[in-house]
Amino acid sequence: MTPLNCIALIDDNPADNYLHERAIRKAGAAHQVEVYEEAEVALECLRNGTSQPDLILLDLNMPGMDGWEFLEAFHLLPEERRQAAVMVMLTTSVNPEDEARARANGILRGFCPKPLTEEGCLELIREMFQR
Amino acid sequence: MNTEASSIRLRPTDLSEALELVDIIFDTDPSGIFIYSTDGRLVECNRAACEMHGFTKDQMLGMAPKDFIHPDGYQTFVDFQAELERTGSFRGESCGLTSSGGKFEVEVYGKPVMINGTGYLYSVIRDITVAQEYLRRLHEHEKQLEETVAQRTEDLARSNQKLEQFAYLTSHDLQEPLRTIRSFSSVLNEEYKDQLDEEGQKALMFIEQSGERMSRMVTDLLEHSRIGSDSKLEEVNLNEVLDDVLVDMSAAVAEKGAVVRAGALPTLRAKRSALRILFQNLISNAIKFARDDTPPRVEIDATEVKDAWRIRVSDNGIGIDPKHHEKVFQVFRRVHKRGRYEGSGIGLAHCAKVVALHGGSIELESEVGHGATFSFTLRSLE
Repeated sequence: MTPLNCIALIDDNPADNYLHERAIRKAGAAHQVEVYEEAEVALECLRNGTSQPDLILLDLNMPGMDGWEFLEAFHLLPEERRQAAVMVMLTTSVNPEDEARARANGILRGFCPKPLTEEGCLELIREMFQR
Repeated sequence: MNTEASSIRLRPTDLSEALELVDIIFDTDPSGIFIYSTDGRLVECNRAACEMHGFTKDQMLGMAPKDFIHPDGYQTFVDFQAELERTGSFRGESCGLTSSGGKFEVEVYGKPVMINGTGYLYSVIRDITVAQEYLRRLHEHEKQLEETVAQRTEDLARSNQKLEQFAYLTSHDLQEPLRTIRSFSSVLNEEYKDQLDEEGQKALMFIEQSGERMSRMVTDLLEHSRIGSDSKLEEVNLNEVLDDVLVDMSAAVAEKGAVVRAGALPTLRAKRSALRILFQNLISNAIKFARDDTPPRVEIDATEVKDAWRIRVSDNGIGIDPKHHEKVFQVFRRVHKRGRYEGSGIGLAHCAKVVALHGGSIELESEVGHGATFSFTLRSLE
């Protein structure tokens, strides 16, 4: 598998970020992993072009800007800033309401149950990037 | 005044005695006695009648009935006259008017009488104001009581709902830190196991096992709190539910060589997924707690009882000591030591909740070594 150039993690939980980054590294899924504990910071980096991930793994429940608000704000970015990134939502449990809402959201390309494991990471990339 | 003359046993035969008795009765009876002419004029009344109205006898006899009958009760007086003519007796309720303009409620009885060859209308009234007042208060209290009960029932339902919501939210939120603990114990296991000595490895193993068990319990609690909330009411054929459950459990059934037999089961308006949980748990228990030397055999039958169905699920397994019968329906109460039989101990609590949800109750009949019979009632829901 060819690794992706960059995967961005947007999640306020450092423990999850640690585990997810580790899974991505063990899977050899990306050259670079960017970790954002605040969605606002991630959004700013995406807006000004300092961050150009191929894949964004987005948590739903976050203090401050949450996952849904991030998606709305992301949608308003200039097209060239957002077209390259594949957006995947990290989910803790299958809440049918959230799932329906996420499915109806045009930006989201998929779901990934937490915690992301090495195998889960490989499978996700195969599915999203046909690699 | 239903007392017929013939039922009087001690009756004067002497006329003067009889007249004296009439006078005594007339004078002392606490009921108001009125004698009207057939054209509705008051021609006689007793002391009680005068006292009730607060007039002297002379005043009363000089008045038209509308002057001592309250307008609210006057129609009764009209009916009284017509009814006596038509049927020869009258019974009704009316209102009297007092000299000070007050109103009192009365019960009225009437009979036509002959006095000295002339027909009169005889009427007796009893003041029922106090009785009516008590009755009104009684009704009022009854209504208040009903309202209080309705309010309390509503409060209870709301409090139960809150409790369920609480169970759901806590179990949901507990999952997150638990998941992190388990993930990191995996990290330790994968990356650092070799650096730990035997004791350290044992400690890590206990952390992982407990984490797994707690995770299972939290998931079970979540499932318990969700029972019934996710499914709508529909016509559910219990034989179909059972068939579905047996398909899901076919591997366990085959492995243990279990035989499951069911008679004709009813179709109920019910929650399908909840009933599925019920049968799934009862049958898997029956198979799980089988005797080592005997393949499990499960019999299910249904009988109609008063506006409900009683369903019995019997097995030939190891049975349950009667001292544990109550405990088995509680969340996480296990009868057996962990290890011998799998499970967190929530299955029968699930069952009890499903049955309660369908307006029924669940009981257990069992002796150690003699199988167990779970007997429960289910009702169609509105």
